[in-house]
Amino acid sequence: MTTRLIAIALLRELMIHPWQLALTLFSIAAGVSVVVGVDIANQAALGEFERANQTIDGVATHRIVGGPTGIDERIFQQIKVAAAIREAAPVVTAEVAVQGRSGSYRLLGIEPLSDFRIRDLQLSNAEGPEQPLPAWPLYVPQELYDLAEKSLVLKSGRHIQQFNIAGSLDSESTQSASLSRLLVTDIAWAQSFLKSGGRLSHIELNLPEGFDQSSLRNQLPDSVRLVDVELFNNARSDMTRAFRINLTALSLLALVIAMFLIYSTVSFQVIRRRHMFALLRAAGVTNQELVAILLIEVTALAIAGTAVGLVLGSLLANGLGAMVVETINALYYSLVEPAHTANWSSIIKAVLLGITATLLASALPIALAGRTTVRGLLLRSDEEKSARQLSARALVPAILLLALGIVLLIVPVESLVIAFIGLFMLILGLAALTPWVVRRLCQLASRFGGRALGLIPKMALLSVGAHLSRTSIAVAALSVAVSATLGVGLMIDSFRNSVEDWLNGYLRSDIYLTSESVGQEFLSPKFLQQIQSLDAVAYLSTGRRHTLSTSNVPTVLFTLQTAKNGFAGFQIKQSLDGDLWNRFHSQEQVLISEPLARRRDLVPGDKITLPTDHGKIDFVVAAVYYDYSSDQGLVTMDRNTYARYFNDELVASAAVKIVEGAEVAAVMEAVRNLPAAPQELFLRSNQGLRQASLEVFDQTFRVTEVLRWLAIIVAVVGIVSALVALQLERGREFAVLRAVGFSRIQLGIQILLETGITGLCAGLMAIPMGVALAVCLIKVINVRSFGWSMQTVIDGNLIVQAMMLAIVAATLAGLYPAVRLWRTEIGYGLRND
Amino acid sequence: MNSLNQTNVSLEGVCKAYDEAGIRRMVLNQLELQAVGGEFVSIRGPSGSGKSTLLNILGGIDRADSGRVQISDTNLIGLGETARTLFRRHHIGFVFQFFNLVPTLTVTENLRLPLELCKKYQNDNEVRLWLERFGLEGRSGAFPDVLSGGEQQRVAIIRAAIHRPSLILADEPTGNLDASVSEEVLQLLREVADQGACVVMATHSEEAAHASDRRLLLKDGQLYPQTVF
Repeated sequence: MTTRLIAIALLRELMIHPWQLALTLFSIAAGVSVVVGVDIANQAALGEFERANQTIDGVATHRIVGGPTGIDERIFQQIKVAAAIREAAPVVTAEVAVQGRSGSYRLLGIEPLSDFRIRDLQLSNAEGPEQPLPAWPLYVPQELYDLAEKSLVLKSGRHIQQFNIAGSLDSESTQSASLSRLLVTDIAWAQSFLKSGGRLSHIELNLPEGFDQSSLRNQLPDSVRLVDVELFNNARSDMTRAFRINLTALSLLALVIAMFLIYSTVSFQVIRRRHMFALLRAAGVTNQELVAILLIEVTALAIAGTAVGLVLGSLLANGLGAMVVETINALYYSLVEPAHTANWSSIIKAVLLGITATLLASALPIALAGRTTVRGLLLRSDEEKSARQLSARALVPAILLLALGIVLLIVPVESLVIAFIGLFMLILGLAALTPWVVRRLCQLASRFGGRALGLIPKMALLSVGAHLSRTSIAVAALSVAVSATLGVGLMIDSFRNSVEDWLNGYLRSDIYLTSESVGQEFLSPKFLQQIQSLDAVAYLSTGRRHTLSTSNVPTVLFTLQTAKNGFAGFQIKQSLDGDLWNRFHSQEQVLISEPLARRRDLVPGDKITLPTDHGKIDFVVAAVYYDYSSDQGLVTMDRNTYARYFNDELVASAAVKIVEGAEVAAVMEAVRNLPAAPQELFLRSNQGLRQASLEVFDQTFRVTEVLRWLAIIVAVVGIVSALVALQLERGREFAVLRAVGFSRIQLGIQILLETGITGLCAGLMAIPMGVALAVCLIKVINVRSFGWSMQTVIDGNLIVQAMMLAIVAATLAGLYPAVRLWRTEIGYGLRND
Repeated sequence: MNSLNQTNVSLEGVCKAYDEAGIRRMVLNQLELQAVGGEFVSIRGPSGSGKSTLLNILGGIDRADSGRVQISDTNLIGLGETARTLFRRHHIGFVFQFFNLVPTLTVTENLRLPLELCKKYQNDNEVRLWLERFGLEGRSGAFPDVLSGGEQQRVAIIRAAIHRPSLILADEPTGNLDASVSEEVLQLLREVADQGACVVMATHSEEAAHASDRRLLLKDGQLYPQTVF
């Protein structure tokens, strides 16, 4: 009953200031929505990855895989008959394009009599189950089937074929989005279409528990391997782990900023209602009762804010989800964008995070409200005194947080989570320093600026320092957000610079060519010979990149045939002594990229085991080179070495170095017109490829940019609201100043100066914080996440932009109070305290 | 109207000092005060003499540095913050210069607050009786900001007395009121004292002090009968 009456009093008070209530709800909702948005997007991508695997792999426990050209189909007969494995299904698969439809599809060639034991794909015949299938039969997703077309033209590389739609396909066990991009045909038709007669992509097996795998392995030729499907898929899923952790960390940064705002708004509400608390306390309400009521109030706000955050987060997930899938597609593996709907795990996480973050952020202001004496509550000067004491008391914990953060960042472990904990400690430590620094800066400026500043600026400086009890946390939140945008901006800028430098060194040829089509396509030896014979061509490099599947992390092998000049494009980080070209070209040694060296803990001189067509072979690592094309890393092998261990003569790409004086455009035209040129040849100039690479780079950072701006929006709204609230609360003070002779313009200038100075202080704090953040991201987080080392570039423009952002956001906050002051009569201001 | 509890107030050797800009200033120095239920005591003194501090110590809002603050059977000096609050809830009523009603509660709700805190609230009948007695029957649903100063202070006095505390402390209750309203407020405090409560009022005003049974002057941290000066 008593609690109800007090709660009514406090609730009505809250409703008098709906914008503050709205700000608190916004802070909670904003923080929760970003975390939920990222979580749903991450979970959806991960869930889809698993569903897609389940759809494609079915109940397969193992897979028999071969080299780049697949495996001999006789192996299937061998294991089915000799090894007596009942549940085995051969597969021919390729990425294909469907004429008239955008995007790519996966064509799965299966043997129905074997396949139903592995996959539960439901193939429904259009003409009824008893009717014979047409030639080139194709089962298509329901969406395509509903178009009621009789046939589809599929393209894979140079292969084009019209398939007849035999029916639709579905799966009972999964609802994977990948089904919408899956096409199924009989294995023989698939082989015929891909001109891979007698070859299989792989064989799926469902081995019973206790099956003697070593015996099976012994029966297999050296050129093929038995791969554990679960381990393989886990390894693929792990590829995106660092990417997902980075996104989660960025979303948590938004939550931390939101926590600052929650702290700020709850503090503001506590401070504003101190007089009422004092009245209640004088009337006999105990501290414990007051704290309990405030906790109930904050919990109710947390629940409401979290509910709003969940709705906003679900909306945000759609946008973020598309970007996450886009990045995964660009960097890791092909994934069809799933529906981004909130799942229970995300909802529970959001509710726990929203309520916990709100209660944590509110704990200190509520505890301080509970601990203050009635006498203290009645005195405003005590509020500022406690704010001063608090900012001074926060110094030691701030320094400790900073120190601990630095220790965690430099401790030589590979854990990304520990690195992020260190980074967050660093941010919190710097934020905790902010109120003290702002107060000192204002004191110093007012002391040393002295008379030179004039009355109004001096008053503004003193006022900023004097009102820290209400603004310090918002200033800290703005500092954190601006520093985050600066830090992430500097990191992306440094990264981009490193990639640009790397591309400048690495891309030594003038023209790059591949076949422009979905699916595997190769450049014929005849065509390559014709290129080489052109007068304008100095030398030709050829390449082939493919993934060597093992049960562990897949290894990407890049085979290269180049001249010594072309080889010089590698930017070597570490190497064995002696002539590296000779080691690579003549001694069967390989180069590995920096991320792979970090992931496998390899240095020059170590050996790396690769599954070849002649079994597992150890290759000596001759050097580690910088490479930003893959965070999984790759092994680069000379074509001659490759030819000795792999039965594969295909070339997927080529690079042409032209002779001095020749025109790139003219040579490109000549190459395009060569008689053996593929129909769909894709040519890019050095400049064009560089540009395209940087576009991919920018695309992969889109989601980071979005999260960075979301954090900024949260902080800017926070600082604007906190400063507007403070200025509006000082109506009587300004009326008194007007009464003693200050003009409206003078007071307007003072308000704008105060908010501007607050922004300036936040910006000044943000610069060292931002640079420190950037260094941590570049030197620790990126290295541990992706294995890339990069140069640190501090771009002055970004620093100026960050500073301007802080000042403009804060100055904007002064506009409304200044306008309101302009319109308010002195008498009204004096009457309405 | 029921009579308020009889009580004895006894302050012995009470000292209180504050640190002000690094200098320790003794506000109350071996202060002695005896008062009984039904007595209306006024305390005068210049600004900064320690009147409010004395009332805060009597009300358990502040704690004396030393001495004895005995109200009936309870020595407030020995009580912790929560115990002092609970004591205040049941035994003490406060009247402030600036009325200090809870702005977001109506008049009736403000008056129900101490009753509910003491678990003495049954219905609004008692509240209504008090409002009628003090001429506020038409203002029961109003919020404080629409009341005049005199009306607010009358509500504040009812709020201080409605749960029948032993001791009512009034800190400059007429400081913000004009002469005629001040007289009315003092009359109401007189009535509350007549019903058995001990009323201790801090005031600047000599006229206000004249309404009390006993006038004391706070000077150099000690209380002197007004007649001495």
